[in-house]
Order: sequence, then structure tokens, then C-alpha cells
Amino acid sequence: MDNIVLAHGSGGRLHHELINEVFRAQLSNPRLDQLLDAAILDLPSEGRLAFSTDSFVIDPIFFPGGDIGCLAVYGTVNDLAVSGAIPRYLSAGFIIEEGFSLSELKTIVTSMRQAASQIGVEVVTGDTKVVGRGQVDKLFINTAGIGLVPAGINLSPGQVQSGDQIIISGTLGDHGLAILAQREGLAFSTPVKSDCGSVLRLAQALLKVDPTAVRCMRDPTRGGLATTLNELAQQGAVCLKVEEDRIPVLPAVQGGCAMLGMDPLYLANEGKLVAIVSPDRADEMLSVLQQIPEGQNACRIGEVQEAPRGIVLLRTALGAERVLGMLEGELLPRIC
Amino acid sequence: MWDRVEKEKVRKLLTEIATAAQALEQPLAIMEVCGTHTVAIAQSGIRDLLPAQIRLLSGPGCPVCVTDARDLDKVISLAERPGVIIATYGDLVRVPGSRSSLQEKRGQGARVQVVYSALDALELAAKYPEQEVVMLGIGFETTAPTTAVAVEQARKRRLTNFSVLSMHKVVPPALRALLTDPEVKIDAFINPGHVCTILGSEPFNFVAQEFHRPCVITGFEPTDILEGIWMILQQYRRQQWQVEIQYRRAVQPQGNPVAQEYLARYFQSVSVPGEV
Amino acid sequence: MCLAVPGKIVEVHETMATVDIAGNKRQVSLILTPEAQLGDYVLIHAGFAIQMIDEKEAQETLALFEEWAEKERQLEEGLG
Repeated sequence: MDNIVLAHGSGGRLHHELINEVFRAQLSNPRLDQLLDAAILDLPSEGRLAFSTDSFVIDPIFFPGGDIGCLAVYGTVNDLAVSGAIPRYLSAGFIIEEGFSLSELKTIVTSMRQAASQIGVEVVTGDTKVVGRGQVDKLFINTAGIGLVPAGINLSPGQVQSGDQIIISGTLGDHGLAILAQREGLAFSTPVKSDCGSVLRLAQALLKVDPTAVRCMRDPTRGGLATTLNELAQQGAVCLKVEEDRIPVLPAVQGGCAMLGMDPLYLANEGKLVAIVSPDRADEMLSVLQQIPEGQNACRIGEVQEAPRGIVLLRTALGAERVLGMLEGELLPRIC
Repeated sequence: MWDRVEKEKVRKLLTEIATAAQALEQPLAIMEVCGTHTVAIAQSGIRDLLPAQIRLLSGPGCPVCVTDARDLDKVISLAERPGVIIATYGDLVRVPGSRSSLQEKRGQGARVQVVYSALDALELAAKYPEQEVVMLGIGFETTAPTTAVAVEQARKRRLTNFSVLSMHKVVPPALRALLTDPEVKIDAFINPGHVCTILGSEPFNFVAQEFHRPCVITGFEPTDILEGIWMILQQYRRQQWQVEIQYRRAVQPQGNPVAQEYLARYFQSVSVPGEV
Repeated sequence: MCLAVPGKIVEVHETMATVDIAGNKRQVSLILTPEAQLGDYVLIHAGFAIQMIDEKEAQETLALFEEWAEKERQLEEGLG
């Protein structure tokens, strides 16, 4: 049988075959293999738990630089990583359209396994539902994750103080542009790949330098860097001042955005880290990031100021200053 | 993003502008006609770097702001018809008519496809022969010729399910209306570079000859805009009014004759009641 | 009013061309610029090449400004 049928979601024999041949075959570990209704996990003796969830509905499900499978792992892992947690366990829920290709499902679950094993997390519980044709667009995945936050780690925008430095781990807008290029009706080819990947090593490297010197971290996904900076400024009740000249953007992303009338600061990323760190450890943290492959383009893009609170200011390449707002509405190609 | 040469040029331009501005008898209100100039000026923050004597005014050159609410309501009612696909540039999707917007209609099931080119709208018509594809023709003399080519191609390929709702606007009459409006004080124009790649400079000669105002056809990089302002100031110093081309790399005096031919053949210019 | 970006023609097939915009490649129509050929720089708007770009002019823009500023200064001294 090449395609998913409704029976695969019915709980019967086909459902069990699917679980064993596709999911357990790839994601096997002692906890998942018991196939109980819940995974039983040992609680850490000290420290606290971090818990996060995210849903993945990306179209196309395969794109240059990744696919919905590894994205579903990285997305939740990154949310845990920027909270200072070491990810341990994931859940994975699949909602599959009737008629979806079984071989594509296997490719996606293999990609999930590769991402999970590379990071050292286990998918310990999961669920699969199949819905009628047209009720879902091919495949949706939800993942939730649990991680251990060691004692002494207390990251939050509330920690951010005037004078702190803002560091970004690499170039912006790569994922957004790579996906736009695939969109029907836009049809352009681009050398830019999605930056879909884990930021765990980056986050852990910063915390290893000095956990008290890392105020907070974020992974800027939908809405781009501009939206994430605005969230941080509002939650921290501070002003973030960034320099347009210092913000790294690939020339192909700059050119693609110029063609479509878009701004790279609002394009999505799927493997970047923004960190706000204390000024006296900023240089050290930057050089630590730059020694990690996924952090080689890390750089300092600005700093924190007292006021105006809740605002992001952009110092333009021309030397003037303007407010950088959150994303308004959808990102659409424009002619003006 | 910016190399040293570019920054040096900006510094030099700003100094030259500041010196030239001191020689002005009274402050200058310079209108940048084009919406893309307005965005470039806002994003680069040029306004804060200009001397107080120079004020930049935003002009009518944004295809969305000049689209009449009645036209938008027409678009919305078309979107409500079964069997219709609305093909539009992203600019119009969020713009509210008097009662709804394309974005809202799409949420209610209307088929609204954002396109990057009129040719993409044509391919929609070829792909869905049983649907009526309506291309929303917005924009000025830069975009209108591309709509005309799509219409020509539709005829050649006998795509009878392709139609255009033309809301295209022309620039010269708009400038004339601004210059004859007693309430509007404009001392010079930063002319829309890309409209002029099509029209050339000649259709704007009346600004200099009849109304004695400088008119500089300008590119969209901050250095282009600063240079355009500097050229306006030189005209004021010499008290000689001309249509000059700063955007030489893309604009020739005669414009693009092939595109002008398409405009003439496929469009008829009308003045919309209540508008200019 | 209208966004347009420069691109280099890297392939031509009848009235269509592949243009390179900072590494991105897209099909554009040459119907409005029939004289455009392989290797030319063109201005692209909404999927069409709408004008040829004078690449030499693009490089000279900076030099020209100096020349202008100089000429204006001489004019001033001459008049002053």
C-alpha cells in the first residue's frame, strides 16, 4: 500500500502496523517502545522543568534546507534551549490527510529521528490521526517538549538592563526567503536555504561562559527579528537600539526582498538565536559563538537603553534613527 | 551593507545640501511624488538629516492610497461572485473598502490569489479555464504597460476567461492638479524614477516651463534622493527651472517608446468623476 | 509607486529571459525591452524588464557627483 487510508487512523490493525513500521522503527527508545498510554519519566532531583509546544503546518513540507519533520523537532527544542533548558523528551502528534504518500511519511519521520538523535532528545510519546481528503493540507505535526533547567539559570526579559548587548547568531531572513521562493505564483530560484536547525549548542555555549551574564535568549521565528525585538522590549520594559549596518543579511536575501518589496527583518528564521548579555562578557560570548559552525556569523547588533520603554530603535545605515515596529499583517509581494 | 565609499558620498552630499540650503530665501517644500520614495525616505531616516529649510512632503504616488473606495467595493463584490478568481498584487489585499477587504473575503472562502506579475495572473486563467480570472490593474505608468502586455497575450492565446479591472492612474495630470490647487504649496518635485523610465522627462516639462518649479527625476537609493535634493537646490540658486534626470542609469529622456506604445494602444485615459 | 530592481540577463529564450538578482534567478518578459540581450543589465518590475540599465552610468554615478559639485563651485566663484 503506497498511501495513507482512513483505516490507518482507526486504531485497528493498519494503525498498529503504521505505528510499528513507520514511527517505532525510526524513533525507538525504551520509553516509546513500551507503547503505553503515557510515558513515565524520572523527575530530576534538583533544578526545574521547562515545557513547550508548537504546531507545524508549513507548505511546502519539503524545502531547501529541511522539511516539516526536522522542523517539528528543532522548533520545540529551540524554544526549550532559549529558556536555558536541556531538552530531554518530546511528544509528536500527527494529523495526516487521507491519500498522503507513505514513503514521504517515512522520509519525514526519518528526518525527525536524525534531528532528535543529533540533539540527544527522545520522542517518548505520540499520536496519529487520519482525516478525510481536503480536511488538512497533507500533514500537520504538533510537538511538545520537556527539558531540565539547571539550578542557577534564571533567564527572562525582566533581567535585561541598560547597557546590555544584543547578539544575533547569524544571517536573517534565510528561512523566509527560501520558503517564499517555493510559493506558487512567485516562482524564483534562490541559492538561499532554510536555516532550519538547532540553537541548543549556541545557547549552552553562552550559558557555559557565565549563566548570570546571559539575561535572556529568543529564537526569532515568524514575524522575524523585528517582531522578536519588540516582544523583548515590551516584556523587559526597556528600549532596544540596533544598528542597521551591523545586522547580517545574505546579499541574495537582500536582493530577493528588494524584488518582492519585503524587509528581511520581518522574514522568518528557523535556526537563529538572539541573546541579550551583560556588556563585560559580550566579547567573550561572541567569540565562543563564532567557533561553532551554526554561529560563525554571530555578531553584536545593538544594545539596551532605559527609554523610550517598550520601543525598538533602528539606527539606519545613513546615521539617522527610526522606530522599528512589529510585523503588520501578512508578508505579501508588493509593487510599491 | 554599506561600503565606505557610499557613506563618504552621503556625508559629502549632506554637507553640500546644508551649505546650499543656507542660501535659500525661504524654506522649500519638496514633494516626493512616489510612494516608493516615501518608503525609502522613511526607512533611511533622511528627514532627520536634512536642514530645517527643507521639508519633504509625501505625494499621491501610492497605488493603494489613490484607489477610490468605490473601486474597492467593486473589487469586493467581484470577489463574492462564485467562479471568480481575483488576481492582485499584495498591496491591495489588506486595504478596506467601505464594508470589507479582500483579506476578509478570502477568509470567507473567496478565491484571492496574490501574484507578482500580470503574466502570473494569465497563467491562472490558462490553468483554470472554467473560472473567470480578474486581474486588478493598480499602479501607474510603470505597471500599466505590463497589464497591457497581459491583455495582448490573453487575446493571442484566446484566454477568454481573463479580464482586467483597470484602476491604473497617470502621474502628469496629478502634478498639474497639485500645482493649480491654491491650498497646496509645493516648491519642487522629486519625480518618480520608475514612472519616468517609461515616460521619460518630456511629459513633465510643464512643471518647469509653466509653473517654474524644479523637477528632478530621482532614483531610490538614499544617495540618489540626496543628490536629487541637491540638484533642486542648485536650480533654486541659479533660478533656472528644468526637468533634470538624476537617475541616469535607468532613465532616458525619451523613456521607453515600446511601453508608451502599449499604453496608447490598450488604455484610454479618462478622468474619474470626483477625482482630478 | 513602483518597486523595481536591477538584474543581469543570464539566459534568453524568445521574449522571456532569466535574470540574476543578487544570486536569485527569475523569469521575466522582455516584451517591453525587445533590444535587451544576454549580459545586459535591466530594470525589473512586476515580472517585466521595463528599461535597460546603463551599467557604465551606474558605476560613474559617484564620479559624476564630484564633477558636478566641482563645476557648481567654479560657477559660484565665477559669479561671486
